[in-house]
Amino acid sequence: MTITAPAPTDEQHRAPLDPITLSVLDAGLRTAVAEMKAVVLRTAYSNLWREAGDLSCGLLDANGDIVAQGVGDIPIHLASMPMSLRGMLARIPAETIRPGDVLLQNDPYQGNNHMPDFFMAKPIFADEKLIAFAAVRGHYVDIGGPAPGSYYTLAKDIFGEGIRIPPVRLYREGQVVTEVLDILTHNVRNPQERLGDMRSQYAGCLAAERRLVDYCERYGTDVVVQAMAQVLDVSEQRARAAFREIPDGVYVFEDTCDGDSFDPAPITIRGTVTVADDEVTIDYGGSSKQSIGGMNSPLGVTHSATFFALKALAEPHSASNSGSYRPVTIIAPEGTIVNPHAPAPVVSGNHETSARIADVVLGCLAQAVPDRVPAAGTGSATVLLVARENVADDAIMYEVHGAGQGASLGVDGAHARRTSIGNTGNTPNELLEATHPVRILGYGITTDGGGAGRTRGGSGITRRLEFTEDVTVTIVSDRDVSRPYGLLGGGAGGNAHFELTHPDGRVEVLSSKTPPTSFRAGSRLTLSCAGAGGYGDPAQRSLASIQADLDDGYITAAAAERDYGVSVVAEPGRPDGELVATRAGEPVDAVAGAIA
Amino acid sequence: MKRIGIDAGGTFTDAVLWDEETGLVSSAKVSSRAHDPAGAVVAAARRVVELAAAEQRVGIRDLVHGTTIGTNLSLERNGPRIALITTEGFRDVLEIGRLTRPAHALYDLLDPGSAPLVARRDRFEVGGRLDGDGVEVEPLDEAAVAEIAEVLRRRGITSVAVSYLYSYRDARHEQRTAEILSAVLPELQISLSSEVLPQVREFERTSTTVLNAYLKPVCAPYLDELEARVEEFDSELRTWIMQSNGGVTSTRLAAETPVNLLLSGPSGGVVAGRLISQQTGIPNTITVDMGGTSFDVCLVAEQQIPLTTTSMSMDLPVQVPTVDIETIGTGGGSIAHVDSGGQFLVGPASAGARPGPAAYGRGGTQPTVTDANVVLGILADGTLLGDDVRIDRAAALAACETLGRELGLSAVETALGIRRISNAAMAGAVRAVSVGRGHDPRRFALSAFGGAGPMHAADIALELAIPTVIVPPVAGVLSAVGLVVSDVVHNHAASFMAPLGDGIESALAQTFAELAGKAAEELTAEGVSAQSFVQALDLHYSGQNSAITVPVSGALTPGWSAEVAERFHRMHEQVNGFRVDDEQIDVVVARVSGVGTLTRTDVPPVEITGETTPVADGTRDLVVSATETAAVPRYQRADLRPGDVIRGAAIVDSDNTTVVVPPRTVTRVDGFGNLLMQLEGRA
Repeated sequence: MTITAPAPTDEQHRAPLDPITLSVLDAGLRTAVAEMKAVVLRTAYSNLWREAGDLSCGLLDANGDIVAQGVGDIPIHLASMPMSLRGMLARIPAETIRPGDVLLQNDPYQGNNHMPDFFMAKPIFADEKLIAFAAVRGHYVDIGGPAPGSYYTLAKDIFGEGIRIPPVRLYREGQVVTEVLDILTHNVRNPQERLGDMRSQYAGCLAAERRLVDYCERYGTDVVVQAMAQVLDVSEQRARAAFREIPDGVYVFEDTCDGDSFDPAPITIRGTVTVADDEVTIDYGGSSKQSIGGMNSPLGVTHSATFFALKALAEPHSASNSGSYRPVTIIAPEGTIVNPHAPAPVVSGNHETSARIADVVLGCLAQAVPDRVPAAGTGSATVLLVARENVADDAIMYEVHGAGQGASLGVDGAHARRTSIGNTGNTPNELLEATHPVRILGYGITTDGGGAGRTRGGSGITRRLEFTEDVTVTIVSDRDVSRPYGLLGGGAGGNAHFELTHPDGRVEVLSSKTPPTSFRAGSRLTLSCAGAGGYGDPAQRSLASIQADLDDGYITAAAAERDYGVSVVAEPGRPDGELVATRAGEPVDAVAGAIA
Repeated sequence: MKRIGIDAGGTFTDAVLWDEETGLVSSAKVSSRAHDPAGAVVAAARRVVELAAAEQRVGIRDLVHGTTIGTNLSLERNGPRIALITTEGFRDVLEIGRLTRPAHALYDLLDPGSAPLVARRDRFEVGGRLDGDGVEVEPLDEAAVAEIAEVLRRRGITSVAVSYLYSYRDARHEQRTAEILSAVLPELQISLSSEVLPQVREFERTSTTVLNAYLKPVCAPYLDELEARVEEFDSELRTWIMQSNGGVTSTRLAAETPVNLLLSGPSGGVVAGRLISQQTGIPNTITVDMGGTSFDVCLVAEQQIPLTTTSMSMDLPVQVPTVDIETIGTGGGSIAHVDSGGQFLVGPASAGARPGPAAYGRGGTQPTVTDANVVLGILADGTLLGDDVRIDRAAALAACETLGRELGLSAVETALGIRRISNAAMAGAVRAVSVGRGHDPRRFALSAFGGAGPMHAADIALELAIPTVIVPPVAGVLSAVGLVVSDVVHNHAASFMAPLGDGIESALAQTFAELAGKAAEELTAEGVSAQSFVQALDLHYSGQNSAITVPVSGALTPGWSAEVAERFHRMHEQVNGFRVDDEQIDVVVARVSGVGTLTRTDVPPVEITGETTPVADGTRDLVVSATETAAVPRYQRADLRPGDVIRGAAIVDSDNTTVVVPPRTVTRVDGFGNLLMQLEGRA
């Protein structure tokens, strides 16, 4: 099916608002969404929502364009919101929607991300007209299917990935549609938690609705509608101004993901970015065919990832909405990894393939504006799922580990910092142990994880844990074979690595696509996400910076000698550590003991 | 009995002398001294006493001080090198944090965030482990602790934070660590997470403890010195320090947990807001404080100082109870501009004090909120601000004209626009703390202070249909007034995990008693005998995690849990818009606040016998629209007396601010000298 925006109505061609009213309402719309997000976070149930914040809020206009989004929202959730809403409106025509209705869906083939991301939209009426939608997309920790946590990466089609809810009404004129709710709660694990999260989604929508209706009463509905249209126009102009700063040209870049749970062969993403004045076209022609396993990126995800990369480069500090995407054309050939045919499975594509799509777009643009693009970040969410075996309605551990920032012209990449399309946080170790059958043995920054360079890439995270009961474990990660690229001579980031020690002492290296697998109590897992790429020639890195990394233990002496060509000698009794890096022609005392 | 309040700010140190029988005796302002802050405090105290009549200079018992020393250190990040000791395997928790990048850097791929407050080389791990119930699974590696002490000595580190997993369950490993460290390094300053924040979530507990360790080497000597110099100035005086929680404490306790001082400065203003609420008999107020660079809002419902445990400092969470003040970057210096999309915006960039607004004539050329106020006549041409700034309307006009050209607006339209946009931003912040948390702003009065607050308060109130604006007297030294009317407050909390219901009374009562015992011990050590204790529980629906703090009154007699449950359901509905009556409610934290009363705050008002009409000392031409100017009566605040009533639009000038009174307003001066504006003829 195709999803297109409705034609602009007359309302969009009304006389423009004065700049002052526009500015006032623009801020007001963003306040409304901020309030919405605060309510969802305060009332959510799952660790994944309340602690890690894996959800996003948006205010969309009647055409389905996103006008404002929540503070700190997850980029991959957002640019696809219009597609998700239009997917709903294709089945549930706007003229049939009544006040008090609430729509729900999770179908990747009707504009959604992967299926765990449930999209709820509440129409907002003012003066008896449908003027907007408040929408919350949140990751449901379980949506059924064969494996707890619904990351069944051995599914060869979407039917194996859990329950698929096409666009439906969850509420009809203020009354919950019990049948729909029952279908959902009968098909997911731990339905009580799902209901709690769903309730918080609904409460968030109500908060935004109240605020918008309030503005309509104060300023007039037509004024608010006009403001939403103009907010988009302003963003479009901002984006065009930013694109004009990028030299015209055609830039090609290619990178890979490390296969899926069936086939380790690399999956290629190829991007051709054409910058022409204030417009940008991205063509993914030449990318791999769709995969058997769930590494496919549905069109909504491909769009979100592309828009994320462009916005990050062009105008990272201004508000984000559909207007900024107008000057962008995306060509994603059908049947490829970036636009699969139904019913291909998609669960991992949402944060693994999508991260690579963003890496590719940035890799293209690094050729145009190298001073503004960092080397590749960790490039994977590196999700670990753990559930007790055979315990009904168990809380499922869903923990994200991908973190590590690419180096750039001026600065080292930060260690353990989430980058790219995701921004889901972690869960405190003390709460993980309280809820799940795990004992955390260590949670730290990976040694030697960052790519070498004049500026160094950030290292990722290593977590060591022991399972205290028999468990089912799933890993959805990437970059255990390929590595995050460096730029301008900088080295690639270190690989991800997964190692399981069985209770009998046997050691097994696991793949980044470990499908749901049973492990016995007493097994220990060491999980490291990839590090990030370095930037510039490592030989140009200052000795003081190398010394500081040695003193802080971010790098080992061996890596310093190998990557930076320094000699490391021991100097016992030196307060900050006995290892001292020396380089021919550079005095040692200039750096010894210095804190960077 | 009399008290001195000293509020030290970046530019000025304000002082008041207060008599609990009669109220304000005198007030003074002296320049702050960056290199001798204690000297400025004593100078301000000396000055305010000198300004009082001779017979008023006796019976001064307390000196209460609000300090920005902690805040400044956190802003300038120029504190000492400190160390952190953690459970083996967890030294990087501080650097990893909650993993996410902050909202402002969501799309910024180049921003590395701030460096960890403790360098990794100074973060040490020690073997020894408790489980989630606090049971020891592995003994503390005492030899490792002793080795760390040697490293600290070699590195010259003088302050260390210790934060072990589950220390909130059992503090013994941390306490033993402190003993071993102290034995080797008697002078070492040690902050234990089990003392600073004994609560679950290792990152937040660690970050709060690390901040404490960071502040200690600077705050403790300052407080020692201050105490000595106050003693020297007047040996009868007791020194008290305002904390972030809106209550004061002794210098000794303040020096031990300086993380409680991060919001010492702004707390005084909020306590003053409560005083105004008591004086006017208006139980619900929202305080707004607008200065040159920021706008602070605080909602004081039912005269209760609101506290939060989710504030941030130096990009790290600080989870000790802190007055819940929302700050946005709108101030008099906020710069208006047009962005690359053609949108008219005010801020976030600020002209600050230098170059400052164009009207200051210090080289600023971009129009600011202050310039808009000058163009519109609210701040008169030629007004002298401080010693050396004279308002230049022509410069403000030129700045607005230049920007207006980009927007197709006249200079006056641009100025009106700047005011509307900034007022809307401030109204948005007021909306966030009221409507956003389930409070109807129409049930509140707005208390306005700060140099610019009274210029904008009426517009903000009108935007939100708030009926009343209060502008207190001495708005310029109001925070210092808050200091002298504050209580001693000590908050204690303990993790207490149980389903809410009958059957937990005895355990809970014991926990409350222990917490109250700690607070009582502190109050007693401080010599405060008038003690009272307030109990509360942090509750959430089973499965949620954001808790709501619900007061629990008195003894836990039968029916108590149903009563508390109903209170929780109601608060949840108010804040979040729904309640779930059949859901289990979980207790997570038990809290006790020990409150020690130091002073009476019930100064009697001047009796008002009838309505009097003050005499205007002239008129001011105010621009009211793109094409109209209106001459409104101008009053001097110093001339206004209790009982005076002004009807209609007016301007009220004083040394430190200008009050804008819109049309259709009835403004009364109450028996305490507060201006009460009833907007839109609401009476």
